Amino acid sequence: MRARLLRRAAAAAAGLAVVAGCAAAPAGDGPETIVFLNPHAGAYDAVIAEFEARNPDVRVEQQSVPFDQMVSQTQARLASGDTSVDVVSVDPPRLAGMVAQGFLTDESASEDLLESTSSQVGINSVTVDGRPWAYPLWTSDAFLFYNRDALTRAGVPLPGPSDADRLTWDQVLDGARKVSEAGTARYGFGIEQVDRYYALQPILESMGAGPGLEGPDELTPAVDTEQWRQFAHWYRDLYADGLAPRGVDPGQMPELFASGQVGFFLTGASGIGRAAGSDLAGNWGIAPAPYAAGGPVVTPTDSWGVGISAYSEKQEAARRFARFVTLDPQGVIAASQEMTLPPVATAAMPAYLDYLDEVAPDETAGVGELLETDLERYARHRPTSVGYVQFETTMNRAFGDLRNGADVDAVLAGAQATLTRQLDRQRELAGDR
Amino acid sequence: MATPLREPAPARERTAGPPTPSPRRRRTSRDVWTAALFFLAPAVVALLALRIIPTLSAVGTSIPFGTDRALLSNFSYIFSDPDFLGSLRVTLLFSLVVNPIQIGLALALAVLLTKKLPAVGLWRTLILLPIAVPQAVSAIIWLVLMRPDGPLNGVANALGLPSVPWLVSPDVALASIVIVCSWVGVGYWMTFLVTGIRDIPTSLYEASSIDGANGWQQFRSITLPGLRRPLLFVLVADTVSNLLIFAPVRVLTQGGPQGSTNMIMYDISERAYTLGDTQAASAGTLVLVAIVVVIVAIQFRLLPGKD
Repeated sequence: MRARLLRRAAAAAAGLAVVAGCAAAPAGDGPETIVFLNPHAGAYDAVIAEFEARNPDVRVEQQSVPFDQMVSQTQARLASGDTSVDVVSVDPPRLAGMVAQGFLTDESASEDLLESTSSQVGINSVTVDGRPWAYPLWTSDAFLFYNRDALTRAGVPLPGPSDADRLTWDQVLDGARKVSEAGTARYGFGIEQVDRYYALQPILESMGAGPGLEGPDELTPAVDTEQWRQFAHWYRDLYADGLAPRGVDPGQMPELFASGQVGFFLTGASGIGRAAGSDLAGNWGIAPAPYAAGGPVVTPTDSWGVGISAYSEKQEAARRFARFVTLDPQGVIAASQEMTLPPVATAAMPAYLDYLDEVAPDETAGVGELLETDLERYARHRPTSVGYVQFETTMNRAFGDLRNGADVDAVLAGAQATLTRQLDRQRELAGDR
Repeated sequence: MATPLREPAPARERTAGPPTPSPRRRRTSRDVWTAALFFLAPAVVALLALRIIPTLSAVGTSIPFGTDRALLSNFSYIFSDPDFLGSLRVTLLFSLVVNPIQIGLALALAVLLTKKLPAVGLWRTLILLPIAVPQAVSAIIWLVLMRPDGPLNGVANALGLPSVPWLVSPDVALASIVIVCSWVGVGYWMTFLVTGIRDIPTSLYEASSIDGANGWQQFRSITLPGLRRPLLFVLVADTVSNLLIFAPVRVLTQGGPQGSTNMIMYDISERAYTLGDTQAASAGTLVLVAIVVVIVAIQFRLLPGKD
């Protein structure tokens, strides 16, 4: 598997020559400053230093905002035509909405470059109406981390690292209950991106439910179905008897696992660096994300890309930077290390896996193979609808209410009604444009 | 309002009228106008830029000119939306609870801290300290404190008390927001009342003591009437600031659980900056402005605050 990745990387290398060494001559009146709005404080420091060294005529100023505020910041600033943002982080499912509102530039001119450097799945994640509107940077996957000591002391066998060892949810929760009952960790189970559709969609779909948005434009809500109700009961019950924690938000979950308070932990690749650097180092492991018995294996995919603001007055410099971060192997490698997220650019994947090997050699031994299998066979995109923001906002809130023990039927019926109203409103407003 | 300034009389009238203003006085009048303009300009510009123009802009955004939709369609949309109606209900309930609590506690503490207590400076500093912490930061601290497995429940359990679902139960979450807002608010409003109590002449208390009045009688007959003006200010300002609560909701509950803390400012902000529906958000803002104006007008009428 690893060899296949390397071969792909070599094939992509030709296209990269176009991107590398693209520095323009420095302008006479000092460097031009571009502003990069992103939700990943610290992740781009190395890549920006590298870019500025190669492009002395451009200076990149970062504006890093908390993850939860990225949507509102983007919406507030780009909807008002703010010219002070040049480059912006883009979450693929929100892309259609951003394009419909005219926030991003059409990057069709980079199509060939993207084809030669990135995976097709990555390119698809930034494509709307057949044209690319951003540059894909990372992809994503879900993994089941476990606390080695907590499981062993509770008599729970440690799960294996490969696709063939993948556990069902029933097996995971049985083990989690044993951990809880033995008291070897405070909580048997936890989800890092708790209450977020991104983390729950694969579980829903593995249990046989639809993604929640249907129809040709994915603008028809369908969250009040029998399968959704089954999932909702399952999700609510995780928290009802204290198997998983209530009242802890996604920002606090990694710390809960790192401090040894969680037995099984559903997280993503970004959790690798955090766990490896924590007190739990050497006492944790990685297994494939579980699936529902009798259902398909479903894993999440896509992650943040980089787009250029349609209101930017420095689009040439912004484009140069966006391409360097996402398509140049040096840029991509530098941008992928801090958050340990897998890059879309195929040429950067071997270096990414080498980096994981440095950070957590034992735990990540099977990660390269697992990433490739999951991305090729099991990855399911989130709906790419102009109503995705409305959908995600409403559903995240509904998941939060379920976690706090609300009535399943009332929550899902309420979410269905809210979505119907909001998506009708979306069509009404689109009619004005 | 400042006293209106009068223009200098025209020259031809001056010849007929008996007291002719000297050139020196004319210059003085011009100087006064220049000075007034100079000092008022920043306030007027700020008022225009931060209040008047945004309000007019909200009116413009909330009315869908140039489309096929009815002019008031955004208002009919929000008033048919159970989430918005819920936010109105929650905001009014919150105001009814939080304002009496905050003002009552602020008044009690102000009276207490103007008495001769040991280490009164220390108590006052401790009560005022939360004001120095930015709202968002204090909300994050409370978020950790109020977690189901957080320190507050840890202390409760250690004392043999049951855990409280501070932020995760729809029956308790609004009360938790009241606690967080009051932790900051009480000390802040207390400072105005402490100043007010200090302005009441001590001779009144001395005279009433000689007449045999007890503490409660002094409070009712001297302190409360003497505090009418600062109390009116605190009542109006506290009510308005509590109608505009945003940061604690954003950090602690995001309007949940089940919409139980979805206050109007948070609802408006979600519409504008998450859902991108600036038209409905502007309509919501105008409804909020109308509510604030009506409530403040009623308060002014109930508490004239005249000497």
